Amino acid sequence: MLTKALPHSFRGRLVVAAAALLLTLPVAPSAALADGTLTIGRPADVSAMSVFSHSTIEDEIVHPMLFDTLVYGSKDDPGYVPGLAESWDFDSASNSYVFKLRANAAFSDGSPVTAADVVYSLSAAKEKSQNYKGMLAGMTAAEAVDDHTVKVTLAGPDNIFMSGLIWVYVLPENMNGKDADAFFAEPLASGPFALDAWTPGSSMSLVRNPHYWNAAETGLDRVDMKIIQGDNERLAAFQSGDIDIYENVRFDFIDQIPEAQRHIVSPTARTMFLFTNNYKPPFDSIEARKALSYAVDRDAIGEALWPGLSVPVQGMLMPGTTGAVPADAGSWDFDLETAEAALAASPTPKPEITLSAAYIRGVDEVLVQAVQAQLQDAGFQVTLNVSDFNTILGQVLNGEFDVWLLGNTTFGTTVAEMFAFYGGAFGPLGGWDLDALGGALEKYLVAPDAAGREAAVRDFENMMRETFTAVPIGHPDTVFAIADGVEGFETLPTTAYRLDRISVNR
Amino acid sequence: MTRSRYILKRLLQTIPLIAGIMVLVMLLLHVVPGDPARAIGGMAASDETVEQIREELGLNRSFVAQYIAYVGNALQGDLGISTRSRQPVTEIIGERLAPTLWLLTAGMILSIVLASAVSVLAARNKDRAADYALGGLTVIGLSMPAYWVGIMLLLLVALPTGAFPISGFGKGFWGHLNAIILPALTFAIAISPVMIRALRAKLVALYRNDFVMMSRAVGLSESTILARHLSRHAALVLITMVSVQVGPMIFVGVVIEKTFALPGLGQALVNAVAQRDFPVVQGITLTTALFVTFVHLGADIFTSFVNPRTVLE
Repeated sequence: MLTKALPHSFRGRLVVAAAALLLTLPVAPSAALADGTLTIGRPADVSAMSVFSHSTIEDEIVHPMLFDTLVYGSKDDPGYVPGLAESWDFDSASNSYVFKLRANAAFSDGSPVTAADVVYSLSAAKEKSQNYKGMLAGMTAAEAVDDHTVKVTLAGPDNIFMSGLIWVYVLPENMNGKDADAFFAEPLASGPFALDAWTPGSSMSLVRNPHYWNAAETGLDRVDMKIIQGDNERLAAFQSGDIDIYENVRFDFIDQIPEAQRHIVSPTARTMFLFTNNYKPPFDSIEARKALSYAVDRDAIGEALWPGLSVPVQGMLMPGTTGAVPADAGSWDFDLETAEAALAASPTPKPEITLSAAYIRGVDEVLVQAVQAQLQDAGFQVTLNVSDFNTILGQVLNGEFDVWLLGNTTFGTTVAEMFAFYGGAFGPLGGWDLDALGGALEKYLVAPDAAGREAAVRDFENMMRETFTAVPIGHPDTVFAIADGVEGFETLPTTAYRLDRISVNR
Repeated sequence: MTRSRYILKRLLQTIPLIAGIMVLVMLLLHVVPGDPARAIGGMAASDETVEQIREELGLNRSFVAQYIAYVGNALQGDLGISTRSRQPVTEIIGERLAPTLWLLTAGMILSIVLASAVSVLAARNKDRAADYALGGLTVIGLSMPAYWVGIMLLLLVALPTGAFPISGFGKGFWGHLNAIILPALTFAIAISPVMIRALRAKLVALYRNDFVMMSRAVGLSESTILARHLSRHAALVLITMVSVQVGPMIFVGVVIEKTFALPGLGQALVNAVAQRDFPVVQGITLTTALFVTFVHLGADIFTSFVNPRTVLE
């Protein structure tokens, strides 16, 4: 009988149970970093494997590792460097580029990357890319000159096109006859790594692609990415040695990271700002928008929330991007008296507004409450509307908002991408002066040199500042924690980084 | 009523219940603020893209047509395609099921063991210091949110000892077991206090019965009395508690999976909600609702065998 086989007392049974539990305890897990293997802890997964849906910073890090691009992003002017295209020539008479491809470029199955693949990829990106096809709008033709040469013709001068090539991912022609779902379920890689395993929302593993044109300099054999959403949990994982790269360190956790292991990106390509609904009261009035801008004490917010970890407000375009210049039409300084006077002069002197926010991308409870308090000091009656990002986005897309506090990061290394994004997405939603915006964008597009592009950007920033179309708050930094022995970690201001430049040395 | 009639009746009752669950699951898409297709597409999506998403989700059809199509497909094992990863939802659920089942099973076993041991100890020492101390501990257990307990276990146990992974599900049987110990302990700390309270109360009442005193009088040991005479009654209480608590258990499981980065259904659900991946949200919601339904059904059927009077009369 069972009861007789066991010790008589319950204390005895507990001892047996405890002993059984202890016996199940295995040895300590091995360190995250085996030779050639890197483990990353990140708050979110890629939005999708399909490069046509590319939309987040996680996509920005993973997609270029799987799918090569003609040029790679760079923090140095002009914002890109040769990639799959080892060189290019531009003929201003015909507005055409001729790209020379790397002769040894190959897909992960060993088949060569040809000009036909690049031509297909250019056309597919222009047709299907959800977020970046606008940057290829000026492309009128792409043709294979020979197996390793591609000619692209543009409709006219186009200073955005080359920046847009950062997101033209090279796929095999016609995706080897598969539809997009089938192809991206088992993608054929042209970049430094190939996909080994992916559990969406949980983990992803990449392995070195031996056929990549620069495989000899790929420092890692394997990359494991773990999705660890919680800040506390990511910190614990880093401290335990479970992960080697800890993305998005919360500023109040920095003291727990040894100084030598901190990697601070400053300035970043991020702007925190107040996006107003200029279609309806009160922010259809420039006086109300002016009051909003003057009511925000940016220095106080910076000192309290991002101590030593932000750069002062420069404008709506991100200071970390090549070509960003501040407005010369006044500053974005705080001035409570001016704010109160402007509000008094507006059609709704005591406006009741809703401040919408999602706690994501640098927006947190403290920032939202600080902004709410500052706006109330100036005379706004502010109700908070805090929800998840997509709910807020849904409301904004339907015009159901007054002002949205958000962090906006560009993935472009030049101002071009954000310029286009403001024009294509924020502008129409917020009721911006699209003619003025379009004029500045057009001026940027055709400017013959850097001075011309700078003048166009300044026009845009002056327009934003003079009309208070939207209200920037600050440009906070981004912090990574990097384990000892990880070498070659270098980020762009977008906070994207190339895994193939990293090596491990323990 | 015979047992077979009772079981048949309970099975038939689940049909309208499941139909109702599917209506609620379908309504998920329709209670989202704004246009779900636009929300999925994002700020820069063109009207063409939004229309394509709307078509893919079937939003252009009437609610009834959508419902019939969803039920028809679900009966064939097709819960749609993830709008993000483009994987079939059934495949995602299949991949994510194992960690969740491990967590629920290990957590439940640990909860039952913990609840049984503590309840017996408290009941046998009723109104003594041990009883009060254990009562206090259950109040503390009830007061601690699972995510906090999880983080504390990570910081105070996993980090200093290095014996447990901070995140993930491990590899192989022993890897899974190692990875599930702290999540299961968190689960047990969250779930067992309610069980302890119910079981202790039942045992205190049972210990007052004449048959217990008679058993003692004839010289049976306490553990024999417990095993032979009280365990069946205790099992009924535990089955009822499991059945009643299965809903909260799912919720606790979601929190724990997020805390320990376990790649289970809960984590997938959280991600899908954040990404507005409606087919995945619907699929996982349906799966968990069916799970809860069948746990209730199983508990009732089990009870009809263990204690026929309670259900068959």
